[in-house]
Amino acid sequence: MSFRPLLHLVFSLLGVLNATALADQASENSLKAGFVYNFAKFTDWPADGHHQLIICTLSRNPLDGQLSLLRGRRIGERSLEVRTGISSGAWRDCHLLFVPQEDAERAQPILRSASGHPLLTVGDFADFSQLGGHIELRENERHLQFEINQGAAQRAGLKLSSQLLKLAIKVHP
Amino acid sequence: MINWQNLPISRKLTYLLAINASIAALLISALLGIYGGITAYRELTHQLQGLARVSGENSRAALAFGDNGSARSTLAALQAIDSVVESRLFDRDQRLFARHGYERSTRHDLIPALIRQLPLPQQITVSETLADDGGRIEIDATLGGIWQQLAEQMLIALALIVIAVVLAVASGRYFGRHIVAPLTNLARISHQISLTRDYRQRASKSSHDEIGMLVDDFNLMLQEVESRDQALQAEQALLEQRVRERTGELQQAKEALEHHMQLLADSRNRLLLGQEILAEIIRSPVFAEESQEQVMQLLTERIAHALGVGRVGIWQYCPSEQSLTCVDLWDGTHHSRGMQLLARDYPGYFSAIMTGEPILAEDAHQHPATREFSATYLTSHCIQSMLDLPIHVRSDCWGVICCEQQATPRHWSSEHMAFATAASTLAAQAVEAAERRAATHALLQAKEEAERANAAKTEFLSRMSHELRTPLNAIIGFAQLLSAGTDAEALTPGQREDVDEIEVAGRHLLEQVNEILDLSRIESGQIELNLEEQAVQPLLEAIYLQLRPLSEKRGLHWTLDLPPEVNVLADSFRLRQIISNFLSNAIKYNRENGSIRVYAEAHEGFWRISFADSGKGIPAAAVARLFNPFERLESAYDGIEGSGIGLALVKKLTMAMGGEVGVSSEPGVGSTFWFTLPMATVDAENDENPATSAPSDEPAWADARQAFHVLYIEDNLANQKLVSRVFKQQPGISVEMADHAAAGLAAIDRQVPDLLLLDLNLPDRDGLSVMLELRSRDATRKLPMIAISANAMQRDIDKAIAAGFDAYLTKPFDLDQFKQIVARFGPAPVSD
Repeated sequence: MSFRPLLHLVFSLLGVLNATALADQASENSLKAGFVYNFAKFTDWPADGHHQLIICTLSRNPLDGQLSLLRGRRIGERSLEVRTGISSGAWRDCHLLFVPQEDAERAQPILRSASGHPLLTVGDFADFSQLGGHIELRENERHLQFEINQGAAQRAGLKLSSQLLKLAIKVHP
Repeated sequence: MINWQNLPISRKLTYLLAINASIAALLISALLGIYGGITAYRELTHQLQGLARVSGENSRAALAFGDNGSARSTLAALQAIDSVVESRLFDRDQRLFARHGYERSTRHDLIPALIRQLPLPQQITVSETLADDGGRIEIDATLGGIWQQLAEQMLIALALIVIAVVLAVASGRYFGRHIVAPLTNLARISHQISLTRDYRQRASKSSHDEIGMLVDDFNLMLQEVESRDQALQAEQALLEQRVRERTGELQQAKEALEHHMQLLADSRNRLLLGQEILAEIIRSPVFAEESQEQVMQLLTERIAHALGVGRVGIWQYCPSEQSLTCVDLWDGTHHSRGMQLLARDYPGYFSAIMTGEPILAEDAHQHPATREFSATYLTSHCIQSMLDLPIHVRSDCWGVICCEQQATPRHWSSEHMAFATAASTLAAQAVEAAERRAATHALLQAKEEAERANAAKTEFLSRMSHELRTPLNAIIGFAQLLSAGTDAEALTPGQREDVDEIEVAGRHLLEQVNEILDLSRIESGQIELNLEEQAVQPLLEAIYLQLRPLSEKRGLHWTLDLPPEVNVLADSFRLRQIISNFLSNAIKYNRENGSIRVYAEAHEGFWRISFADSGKGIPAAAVARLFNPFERLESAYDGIEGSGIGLALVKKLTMAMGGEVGVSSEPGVGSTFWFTLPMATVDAENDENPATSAPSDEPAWADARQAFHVLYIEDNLANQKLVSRVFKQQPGISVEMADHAAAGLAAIDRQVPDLLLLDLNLPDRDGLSVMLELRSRDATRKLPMIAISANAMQRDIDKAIAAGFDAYLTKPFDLDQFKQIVARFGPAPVSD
């Protein structure tokens, strides 16, 4: 897999990020995929010996396929693996679970059973942190922002970077 | 401009200290400032880099999530660092992501404002790249703080320099007061002393340190100098006094020396003049060549000139007359001579002269040797002083030189003496030379006289013998004709004997003449010798055969004891002459029935041939004269004919051929004559045996062909007559006579003869040229021509034969020889 197209993607994502308005759905999805990547970057998982960081989602085509584009990118020593459309019980192999709006219902049992496990959960719908999710994306005045459920993350044994916490619009204890 | 050399020492010290302190302070400040500046700069960059790294790290998430506000707030935290002016954050595309400027209060008002005016770097930028996001942070910081610090340090350094200079000036003053001032004082006094030479001054002492000691020593030295100076002045005064004295003495010595020099120069000049004049005399041609009189005149003049005297005379002493005769007297204008002084008149002077010592009479009137002249001579000539020198020739007193000083007395110096002595020696030489010349002249004259006499004698003899030969020729020839010719039968026996007697006497006379001629030739060096190897024995035998009739008549007994190998180097004719002479002598001077023995001995390359006879012998006194010409021992050999030159001729001939002759004799027993000649080896095939060439039988023309024509060109009538008589006896031969060459040539033109007899000395021309002319003509080219001449020199004979003559006959003729030679060219003789 070539690294160059990916770079283009990231730059384009960042460029989009910097833009004040979301031009369309595609750019919004791309931005969201970039956020997922950055969350993974500023999070420390307990050591498990994996050389891959596995991002999972229940949806078949999350963010219109934009999330799958993260496959192969690296964070530190690890390379990213994106698994889509996983079964409900397959979360144990995952490090990060992205939950879009349409998977809100199906994800709730996983959120419950995964509580206390080092699985970072990122949700793209309101009140995700209320459901026990760790990071909740929020759209606010055409800006993409996020809230962090610090208490849940700490219980799961995940260390979120202080800078991440500083960027969050709201941090739940 | 300050001239450093001339500055006072205190000022020099002050300047040195100030400069040193300033340089030290400046150097330290500069070093500290530079070091502090560099350190501050390093610290600043280090701090900024750390800050950039921290701020960058803290901005990573903000950058990742594009949160400008968060980033700016992170950057704003740098407000706490005073030097930071601005910070900037760039994303990974190097786009400016966030920026923050910091407001700074102007607390350092004065100096930063000043620094900002200077062209110095005002700020630095530190850039730091973020770990893995590709972002970058930049921090600008001002350098004002560092410059501020440096400026403050410079101010401190300036203050330090000022303090150092102040301290230096202060310490310089101190040194000037306490160290230099005493020195200056000392220098001033020293300078003053050197100007005034007043050594009484003293330097004042102000301290007890080294300078104090220096002042003490200086004063001590001054004291010493002062005392020395006084001593020196005293000494100098003394010295000047002595110099004055010495100068006076020297002046005197110099004057004395000059006086002596003058004397020496005079003496030298006199010597030089004397030498010059002596040399002049010696070089003068007069001295070498002219007569004694002229030499004496030269001498008196020159001596007078050299000695500066008025009169100089040379007097010759005559021992027999006891007198002195004036040879020359020069009185300055004239020469005179002939005056005479007698010993009996002036005995004192003569005895003084005879001692051989010079007479130096400064006062001639008082001197013992010359006062005799006082009244007579000296007064009349006004003579005051005399210098007389004897002249010695071959250690005898020859005479005296008299030098006479007139008018004023004269002191004779040693140079005068030397010159006069030399002059007297010269006079002696002149006398000797004149005597020598006279002797040489006389000798030369005598020699020339002798030579002339000798030449006259030789000439006379030669001419006489030549003149004698011509008539002898006729005498012998006609005698032969008479005895052998056709007229012989007409002679009575008595007449025949007379004719024979004439012939014998004639032949003897001819022999004598020949000998005289030979002798004169040898003496005049004209003899010609053709030296060849000659065998002696055959020659001896041949001569013996000729002499045998005479020997037999006296009944002599012969012994020829000669080996055949005796060969000598000699002229054959002369050898024959020598042997004939000895043999005929041995026969003539032998006793009746005596004996003759001839023998040869070899001795050192010579053969010695001896002829021993048994004659009366020769007295010892006579032996020495035996070989002199004309010294015939008449008394001993009365009745035996001879001219007395035979032995003399033999001796000269033998010596001319390199040999010797001699005789030993014992009166009553006999004499042995001998001669020696150089040995030679004779060629065995040389068959010139005189014995075999003995006269052959008389030729006869009896039956010769008719008309054999003989022409004889001869001016001598006797010879013409003789020859015509010879041929007249021969039938068939016609003889024609011509008495000069022209007539002869005319006769040949008329009729070419069969034989030409040609005299070489014709009145009108030379016979040789006549022959050559005839040889050049076709008609007479092969004409037999016989030269006839009285000239018997072998050289002339050879020359004539070589020129073209067929034969050569010498006058007077031997008729037998004449007939033989003519027969060679005449009609063939008919054998009986």
